Amino acid sequence: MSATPNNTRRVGILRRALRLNSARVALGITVLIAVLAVFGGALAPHDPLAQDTSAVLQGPSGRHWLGTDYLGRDVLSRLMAGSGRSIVGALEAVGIGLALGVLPGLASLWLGRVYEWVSLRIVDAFMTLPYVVFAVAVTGFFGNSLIAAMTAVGVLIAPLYFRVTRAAALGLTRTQYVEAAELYGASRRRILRRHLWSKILPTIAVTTAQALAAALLIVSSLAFLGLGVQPPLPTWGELLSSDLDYLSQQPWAPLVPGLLIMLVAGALNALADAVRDAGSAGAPGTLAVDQAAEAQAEDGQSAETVPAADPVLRVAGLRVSVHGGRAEAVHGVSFEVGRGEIVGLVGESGSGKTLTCRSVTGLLAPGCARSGGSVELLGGADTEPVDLTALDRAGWNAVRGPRIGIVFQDPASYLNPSIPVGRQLVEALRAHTELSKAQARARALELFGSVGLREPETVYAQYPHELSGGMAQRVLIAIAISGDPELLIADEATSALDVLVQAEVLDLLRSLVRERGLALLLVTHDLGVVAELCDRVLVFDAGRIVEQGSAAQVVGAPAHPRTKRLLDAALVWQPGFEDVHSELIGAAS
Amino acid sequence: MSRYAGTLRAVVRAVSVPVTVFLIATFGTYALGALGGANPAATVLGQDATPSAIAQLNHQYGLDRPLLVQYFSWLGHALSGNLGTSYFTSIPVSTSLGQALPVDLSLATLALTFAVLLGGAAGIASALRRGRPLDRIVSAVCSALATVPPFLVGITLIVLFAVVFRLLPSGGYVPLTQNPGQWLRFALLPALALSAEGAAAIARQLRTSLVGALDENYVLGAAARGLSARRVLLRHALRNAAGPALTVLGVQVPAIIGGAVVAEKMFALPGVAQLALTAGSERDVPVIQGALLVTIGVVLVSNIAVNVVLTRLTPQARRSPSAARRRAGTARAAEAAA
Repeated sequence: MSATPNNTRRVGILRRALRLNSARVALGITVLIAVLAVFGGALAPHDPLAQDTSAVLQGPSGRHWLGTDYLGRDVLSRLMAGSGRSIVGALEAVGIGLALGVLPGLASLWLGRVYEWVSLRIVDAFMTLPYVVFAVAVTGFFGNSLIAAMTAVGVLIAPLYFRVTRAAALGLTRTQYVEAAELYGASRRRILRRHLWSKILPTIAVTTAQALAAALLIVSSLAFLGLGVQPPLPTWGELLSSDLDYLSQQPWAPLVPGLLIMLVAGALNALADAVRDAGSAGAPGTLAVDQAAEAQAEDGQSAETVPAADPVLRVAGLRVSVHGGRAEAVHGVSFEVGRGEIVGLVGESGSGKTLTCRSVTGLLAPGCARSGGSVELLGGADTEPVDLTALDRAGWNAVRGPRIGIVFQDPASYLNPSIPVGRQLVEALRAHTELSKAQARARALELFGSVGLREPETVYAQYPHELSGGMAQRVLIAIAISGDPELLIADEATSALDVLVQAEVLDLLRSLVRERGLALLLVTHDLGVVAELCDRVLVFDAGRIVEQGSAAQVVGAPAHPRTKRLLDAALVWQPGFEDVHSELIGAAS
Repeated sequence: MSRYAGTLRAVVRAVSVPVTVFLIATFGTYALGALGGANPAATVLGQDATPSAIAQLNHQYGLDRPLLVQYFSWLGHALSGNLGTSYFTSIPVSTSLGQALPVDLSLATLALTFAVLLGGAAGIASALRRGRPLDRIVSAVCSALATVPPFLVGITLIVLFAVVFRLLPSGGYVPLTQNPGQWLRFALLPALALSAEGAAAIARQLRTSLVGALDENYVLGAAARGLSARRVLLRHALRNAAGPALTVLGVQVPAIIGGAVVAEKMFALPGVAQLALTAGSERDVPVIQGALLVTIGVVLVSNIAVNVVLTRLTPQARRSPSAARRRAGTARAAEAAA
C-alpha cells in the first residue's frame, strides 16, 4: 500500500467511504427516504386522512398493504405521508444545532479565556437538560407546536456541535503544520481557510449524520408524547403512539413504523462511520519484524552454542513465527545463560533479540508464537527444572516472579498509573508468598532500600507519574527481584535513561548479579552498555545469532560484518569522540 | 495528610463548576418561562379577564417585578423547599414533586443498575473475546440499540412480557416503600426499557477502553510479575478502563431521565415527567419550572458523584493536568460517540 499525500486524501474521503458496500447501501437508503420525504404524500396509494369505519384495525391485505388503523385509515399511506414531517422536524433541529454550535465552538479557542470559560459553562448547563424534558418545558412555555419542540431539541444539539468542532480545532492547532504556518507569518484567517475547514468539515459531516439519526429518534419520541404533532396529520412517532393504544388487538402494528425509524437511523449512523473511517484510515507502517522476517540472512549458519558454566537458562533452536504463522522472524537461536553471568543480546531493531527474549517469558505479542525449539529453566539446588514451552497460564504465574524477573524500557509505563508503586510491589510479593500485609509492606520498604531508593517510605506512597525515569526503573527492578528469581531479563532497561542515571542503574544490576547470583539476560542495542557490563555477547542479525563471544572479544575484534557495522554505527552516533572505539575496548577488557 | 487535602481539593473543584452550571441552567430555563408569556391570568381568569384583574393577579404572583428579582426570589424560595403553587390546582409544587420524585429516583436507580451490569458484562466479555463471534454479536446489538427509538424498546417489552407471555403488568405503579415486591413487578419493564440505551453505550465504551488498557505496558508488566489473569484484568486493566465508561455513565444520566418521560407515559407511572407533561399541556409554568429544577439538580448531583468516583479511581488525574486533559478528551470522544 502506498502512502497518499495529505491533500489528495482529503478529497478522497467521500469516495473512499463509498467503496464500502455498507456505505453504499446506507447512502441508497438515505436517498430513498429523502425521496419519500418529498414525494411520499403524492405517492401514497390512499388519502392518509380518509377514514373508513367499516374497515378499522384490519390486517395487511391487497388493498391495504399494511392494514388500517383504528379509524380505518390506510397505514401505508399515513406512513408515506408522515415521512416528510418527521424528516423535516429532524432537519430543523439539526440545522439549529449546527447554526448555534459551530461558530461559538471555534470562537472558544480564539476569543480568550473568559469567553472560553463562560461558553463552556453554558454548554455544560445545556447538557444537564434532557432533550425530552426540555422540549416538554418549551412547548409548555410557548405553546405546543413543531417549531417550538424542534427549536428546543436544536438548542440542545448545539453543545454537541460546539464540543466536536472545538475538539477538532483544538487537535489541529496543536499539530505542527499549523504551528509552522503561524511561524511563517501566515495570518490567522488564512490558516483558518486553508487548514481548519478541511479538517473540521469531515468532523461536522460525521456529527451531522449522527445528530440527524438522534434527532429523528427524539422527534418520534416527542411525537409519541403528543408534542409537535397536530392530530389528524400523520408522523412516524404519532403512528407508533396511536398503535400503542391498540396493542392488544394488533401487537405487530408498531413494527413497521419502528423498523422504518431504525432503518433510517441505522443508515445515517453507518454513513457517519464510513466517512469517519475513511477520514482516519492511513497507510499502515511497515513493522520492524517484517523486515526481519523478510530479510535474507547473509550466511545461513547460526553460531555454535557456547556452554555456560552452571547454566540457568537453556534456549535451543528457538524459532518464532510472526503474522499468525505466515512468516518467521527468529530462525533457530541457541544460547545459555549461567548463574552469576551477564549475557548481552545486541542487534539492530528488528533483528529478533526482543522476540527471543519475549519467548523466554511467554509474553509474545498476539500473532507471534514460538514455532520450534526448546526453552528451559534448568533449576538448581532448591528449584525444579521447568520446560518453558509447556506451561499453561497458572504455570507461567508460578514462573514469572519467583523464577524469572523482567525489567523493561520506559519503566513508568509498566507500572499501573492509578496505584501507588509501593502497593504494586506488595501485590507482587503477596501473589507469590504467604506474607501478611504488614510483613509485605516491611519487605517492600527493604527492597526499595536495596535497589538504592533513598526514601523508601516516600516512594512507597507515590504514583508512577511522580517518579523520575531512574527511580521508576529502580522500582521496576525491586518488583522484578521481589520473587527472588534465578533469571533477570532486562529488555532495553536503560535505553530511555540519561547517561548518568543509566550508569547508576547498570551498577545496580551488576551488584544484584554479584550479591544474589542472578543470571542476567540484557537486551540492548547499545554496545557501550555491552562493553561496560556483559560477560558474554550474542550478536543478532535477521533472526539469527551471527557472532558470540566475550565482550572484549566481540567489541575489540569483531568477526562478523554485521558486528562491525554496529560498531561503526556506534562511532557515527557520537561524532567528536574519535577514540570511542578504543574506549569501548578499554571498558570491555 | 496530603491524601485528604487532595480529596478535599478534588471535591471543591468538582463542586464549584456545577454551582455555576446550576445557576446558568436554572436562570436560562426560568427566563424562558418568563418570556413564554404563559401567565396565571390567562390560565386562571380565561379569555374575558379585565386588564386590571390581570395586573392584580400578576402583582399577586410577583410577575410585575424585574426578571432578575423574580429569578432570585424564586431560587431563594426553591432552595428552602418552596417552589410556589400550581396556577391550575393551587397545590404546592413541592408537594406534587415530593410525591412524583421517588418514582423516578427508584426507577432511574434500577435502570442505571441494569445498564451498569448488562453493559459492563457485555463490554468486558467482548473486550476479552475481541474479534471473535461474541464480540461481533455484542457490537451488532449495541449498534442496533443505538438506532431503536426508546419507546420501541418499551413497546417490545410490553408485547413480549405483558401481551404474549402475561408475566408482568404492562403499566401501573406501587411505591417501593409500600411493597418492594410489587414495586419490582411494576418497575422491571420500564427500568429495562430505560437501561437499554445506557447499557449499549457503556458496553461500547468499556470494550474500547478495555481493549486499549489490555494493550498497555502496565498490563504486560503485571503479567510479568506472575499475577493471575483475573487479577491483571480486574485490578489493573479494568481499573484504568472504567474511567471513560464511568464518564459515559454520567453522560447517560440526562438521557435516562429524558427516557423516563417516555417510559412514564408508556407504563402509566406517576412520576415527575408525567407531572411536567400535564403541566406542559396546561402551560402551568410553576410546575414546569419545578420539574426542570429537580431534573437539573439530579443531573448535576450525579455528575458530581461520577467526578468524585473518577478522581478516586484514577488518582493520577487529580494531580497531573495533562492526564486530566487526556481524560476530558476521552470523555468528549465518548460523548461524541454516544
